[in-house]
Amino acid sequence: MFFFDWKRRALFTQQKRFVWKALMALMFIATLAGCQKSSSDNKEQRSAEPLQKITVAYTYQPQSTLVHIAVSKGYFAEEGFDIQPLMHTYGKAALQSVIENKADFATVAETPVMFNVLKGEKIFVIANIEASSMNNAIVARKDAGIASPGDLKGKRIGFTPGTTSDFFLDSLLTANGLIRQEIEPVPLKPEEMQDAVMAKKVDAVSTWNYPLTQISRMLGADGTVFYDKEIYTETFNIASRQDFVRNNPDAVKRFLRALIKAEDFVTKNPDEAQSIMSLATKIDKDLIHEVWNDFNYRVVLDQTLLITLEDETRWAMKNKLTDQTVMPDYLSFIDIDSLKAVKPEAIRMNR
Amino acid sequence: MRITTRLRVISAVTIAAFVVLAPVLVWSLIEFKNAKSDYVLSGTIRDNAFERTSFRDQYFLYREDRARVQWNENKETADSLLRQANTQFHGEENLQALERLHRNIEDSAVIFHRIVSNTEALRAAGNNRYVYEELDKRLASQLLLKAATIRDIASALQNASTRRVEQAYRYLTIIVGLFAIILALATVLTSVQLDRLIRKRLVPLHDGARIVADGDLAYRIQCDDVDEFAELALSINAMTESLQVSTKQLEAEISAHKSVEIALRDSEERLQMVLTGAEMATWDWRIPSGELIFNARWAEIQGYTLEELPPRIESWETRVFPDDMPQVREKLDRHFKGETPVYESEHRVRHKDGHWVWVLGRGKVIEWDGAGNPVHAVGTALDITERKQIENKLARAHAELQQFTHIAAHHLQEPARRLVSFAQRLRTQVPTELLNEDATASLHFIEQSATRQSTLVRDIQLYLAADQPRSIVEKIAVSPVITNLLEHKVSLMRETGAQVDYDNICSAYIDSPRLKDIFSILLDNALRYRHPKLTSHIRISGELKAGRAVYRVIDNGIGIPAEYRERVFGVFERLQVHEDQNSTGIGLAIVRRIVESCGGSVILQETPGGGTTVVLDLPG
Repeated sequence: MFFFDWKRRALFTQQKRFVWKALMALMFIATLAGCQKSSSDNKEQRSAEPLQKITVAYTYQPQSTLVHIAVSKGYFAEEGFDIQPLMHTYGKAALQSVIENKADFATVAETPVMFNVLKGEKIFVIANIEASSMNNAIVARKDAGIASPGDLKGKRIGFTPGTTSDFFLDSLLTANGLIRQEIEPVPLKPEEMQDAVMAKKVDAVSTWNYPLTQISRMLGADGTVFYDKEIYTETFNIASRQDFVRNNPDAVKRFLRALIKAEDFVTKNPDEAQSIMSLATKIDKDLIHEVWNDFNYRVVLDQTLLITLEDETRWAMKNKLTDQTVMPDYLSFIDIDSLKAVKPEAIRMNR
Repeated sequence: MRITTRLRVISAVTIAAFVVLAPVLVWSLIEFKNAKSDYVLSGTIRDNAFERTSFRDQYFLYREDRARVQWNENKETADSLLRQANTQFHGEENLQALERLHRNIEDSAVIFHRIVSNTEALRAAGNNRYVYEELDKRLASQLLLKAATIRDIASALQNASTRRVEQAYRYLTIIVGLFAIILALATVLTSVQLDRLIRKRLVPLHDGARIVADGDLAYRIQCDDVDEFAELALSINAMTESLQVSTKQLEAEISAHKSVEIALRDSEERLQMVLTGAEMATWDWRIPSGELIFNARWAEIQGYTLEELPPRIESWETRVFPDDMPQVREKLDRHFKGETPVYESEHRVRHKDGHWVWVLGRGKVIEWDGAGNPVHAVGTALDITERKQIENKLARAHAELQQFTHIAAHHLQEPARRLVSFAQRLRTQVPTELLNEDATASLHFIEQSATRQSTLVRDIQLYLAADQPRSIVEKIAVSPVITNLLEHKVSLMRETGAQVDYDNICSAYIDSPRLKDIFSILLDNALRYRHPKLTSHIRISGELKAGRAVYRVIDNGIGIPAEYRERVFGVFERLQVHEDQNSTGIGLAIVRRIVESCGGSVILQETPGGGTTVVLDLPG
């Protein structure tokens, strides 16, 4: 009983150990294979496919920073796009390119979107890429007798109709107890404003950056700037035609994914992002740096867009800037699904 | 490497792993606790934001002060929470979020206060009322946006805290798991390694043990390593070697034992033959149990066969003659107490046909228990009926002789006394002139001869009675006896100027009168045969040797030549050179008769320097 057969037992144990080792080796190889597949899957697939050509209409404004970064850093190319840039000085024109089917995506503030929706254009906002309460202001000449917002009464004030410039002017007047009829509004294109102020064709202009800071700098001590961050929050968005979005859902998601990469880059590398913007817009980096923190560069879809669109719609209707009298359902002009698919936490808009 | 060393190394590795992981574990626990605390605080901030929106909505509804005040109080609470959060939260992302939160709350406060101011202005507004109404809406929209932003940031902060809690928990789980895995791996690896080692090292031990168990004590297990198994192998080898030596010794002892056994058997056979020849019965008594094993002769003495008597002590006790039983018991008890070296008793037992048989029983206790009680005794029994009958006849003859001697002595004494008496009367009554020198000498001779005859008769009487105790035989102190004797011999002592030394003399087992006779005769001889030129010096000593009392009476007298030392023990033997009219020549014969009747012996030796030494031994 005591003298157990050790040799036989040892042989059995050796066999068992071999099987166990073989299983472990197989599991290890399988794990390695799985890891390799998952890590290189996307890139290999993309490199095999030709790049998709898309046209993006965007502006030289700081609100378009994420698009500039995505182009510069090759994030669009990473997502399979061959970007055809279509540059504009402001978003209204960029959106017009999309509406006219000259571009697939545009960067644009909510005000042109609102007007185009009221006109019946079938567009989608697919993401908000910037928000700021300090981008819009009125820069005035002191020698025109303007020292405070109340002094704007009776003055010639330049603005760009159908843009945030238009809405902000009205908001600032309201905040200071004035109405539009009490001033002399002068419609100007954004690129005309600087010359108009410097030539004293207008006493003040309602505009945005970078022209806002450029004009302020040029006026120097002769100029004054009226901000009011409590009455307006501008949003800058990615807009596209509804049919394009519906027909290219994957492209839309990839486009958004490239912008999200840019958002991450900007957050982590603000200085390099400013350099890229300086290079892309040919504007001094110190100016870009000066206004940099007035913006957030986030790819989201939140209540700001919706509420602002509705506020502006009421304003447009009240001031007879549109023939529409019924508030549109803006939710049907906002494509939530695409962003939700690639960045669900960015959706802060109940539907 | 030794197994204990291996185990110590593994324990050290495990402890080291624990020491390394313990700080990480503590850090994880602290991190988990902090993360949880941050989570609670961020939740409080979020709840605070929700409460503020509630107060905002209440204010928007009726524009009353209560809601405004509460909104402001809530904002102060928010400030306090943010201050706490700024000290509590860590990480760039969280601090940035707090900064954004703070900025938006401040912005919202400005907007709210503008709404409050605008509400006051609206109440006092006139034609431009719609401007204030429009501003109110614009500001309200912005406040809503700020509230949403604040809510989003607070939620993000809480989500980050949640993630941190989850991450800390994950770390905690990983560390605990890692430790468990290390522990498990260490245990498994140790077990596997030890299993292999033990198996590998155990096989030679196992095989070796089996070979040794099969009887090959010359086999030695090979042990080249230095671990416990090698030590065990060495121990087994040593044990085997010891076993081998022991076996050889055992074989030799068995061989010797067999020889002894054969010799013993032969001896037993011879003993049986002797016993049978001597018609000796044997018995073997287990005292506590009462078991009594005896041989056929033992039963036969009582007229029975072996089978007829049960092997019990009662087979003997019930058959002893009742009057003999007390002395038998006494002798047994004395031996059981160790007072006598052997038990010896002559008593009667009842024969099967009713008559009494004299038996000499001898025995000895051969085993005692721890308390000194007898356990096992063996002995013999001898039918002495015939001897007893002869002894009885002898006793009767002896008694008759004693009586005859006594009567004869009396009748012999009587004429002697008359001779003395008549001789003395003649000397006094016959006129002096009639008693010539020859007549006077004849009378003196008659008187002296009569006296000598009387002494002779008395000594013969003593000699004849010397082999029988004249009182109880017991342990008797010798020194008082000698002292008493010297008191009676004081005139002789004074006359001779003799010195007698005696001290620390052991006792003797004898009756008192005969002991007195022995030392009286020896002292008389020593005093009588003193050296004419020396002061008589007598020394008496006595010591116990092997249960015997050995006495020496040493004098410096005239001594006895070697050729006469045995002869002087004869009756009426006197040396011519020592011719003494007062001596009957029977004293030493009496001494020898007394001593030998007690089982002792007596001899004479020359005292160094001259004189006689009497050496006698008696039962002690």
